[in-house]
Amino acid sequence: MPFTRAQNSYHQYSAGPQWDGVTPLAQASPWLLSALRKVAELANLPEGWNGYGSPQIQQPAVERVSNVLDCLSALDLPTPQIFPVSGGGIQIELRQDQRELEIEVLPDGSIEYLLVTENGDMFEGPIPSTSRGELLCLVYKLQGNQTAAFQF
Amino acid sequence: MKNAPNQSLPKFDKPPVTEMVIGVEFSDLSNWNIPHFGLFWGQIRNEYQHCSVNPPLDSLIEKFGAQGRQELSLKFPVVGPPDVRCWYFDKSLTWLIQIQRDRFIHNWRKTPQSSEYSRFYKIRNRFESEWRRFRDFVASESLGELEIRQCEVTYFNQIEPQGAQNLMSEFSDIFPCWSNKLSGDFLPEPEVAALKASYVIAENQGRLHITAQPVFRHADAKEIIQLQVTAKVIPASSDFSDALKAIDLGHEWAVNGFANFTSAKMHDLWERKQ
Repeated sequence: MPFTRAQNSYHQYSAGPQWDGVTPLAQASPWLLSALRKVAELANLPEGWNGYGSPQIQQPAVERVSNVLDCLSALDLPTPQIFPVSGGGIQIELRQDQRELEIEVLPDGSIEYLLVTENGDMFEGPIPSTSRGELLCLVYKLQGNQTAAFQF
Repeated sequence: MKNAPNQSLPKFDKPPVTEMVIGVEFSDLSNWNIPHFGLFWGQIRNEYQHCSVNPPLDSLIEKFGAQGRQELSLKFPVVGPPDVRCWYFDKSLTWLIQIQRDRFIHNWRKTPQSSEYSRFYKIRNRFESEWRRFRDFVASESLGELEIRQCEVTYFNQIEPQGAQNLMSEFSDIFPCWSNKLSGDFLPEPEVAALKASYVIAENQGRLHITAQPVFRHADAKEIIQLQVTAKVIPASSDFSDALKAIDLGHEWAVNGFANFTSAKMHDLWERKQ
């Protein structure tokens, strides 16, 4: 995969002073390790992987989804499902009790979500890439916390 | 001569450095508040077009003797506004300024557009001018005294596997201190391992911390070895001139430490010149 950086791929959720996003393997939980290796597998899908001429998974999507998974790993979550999306994006699906959260990372690295509550109510929209607060709020809602406070 | 490169340090034509960080930690700015992040951005936005928000870094000041090894202050605000760290970065995605109420950090990183390692003195000069701009802002807004407590120089080096299936089997080729020899043949290759060492900088002026470990790199979903070399130096006083001396000392230790910690075989690969 050519190493380029594009719009939306530069916002990292970072706990340290390093800008480049990395996940130390020795500290990664089993589900995170497995999820990141799934991303690596998707990053190597050939052009036309879906049989309908889809382009390869795009680098900004790979970088962003890896960073999102790393960020989510700090929380007590069920193992996410990860799928390639036609056009070159990647989707993360999380289910807890009767609730479901889909996080779609588009080919350009931007993120959209769909949250389905236990009542069947659906909420969707973009997640700004400039702060991890909104992503964490969505995860708290997936966990059934309706009064999720905004956190940086 | 001011800012003259130290000619005696090891030099590499193709070092594996992908990111370099120079930073200072200072006493909490008592009057700093959330709106100041935006006000400061207004002053630098021509050059740093993007901004994002991250959690603050904990304070970790090097200590010696009876004071212990490090003074740790965790950032959990109980009352008041949330403690955050703002990132301001340029459109080339090469330069980053990180600010929080007790920290000023400047990063350079390698990008496809800027793939040559930007040498230390270029980054140091830039750090100096950005610090002066920050210092003037703090003074003009009466935010408190900038009392520098510690300086930091960090190199992040990313080492691509040379072909081995298991990253760990390359450790002994890269790091002479890792022999990978066991007292028997029961254990297989380790699945994962990390090397972590710290060294006291002469006369208890600070510490050099070295961490080598396999990491998953987000940008291209590759598993590589990352070597982080961080020198933390306590300046002789809180004057910025002393901070610069501490940064230079940190640089010397980081470069010499990197050369000592890595093997001659890798030095050939990185085209060591002296």
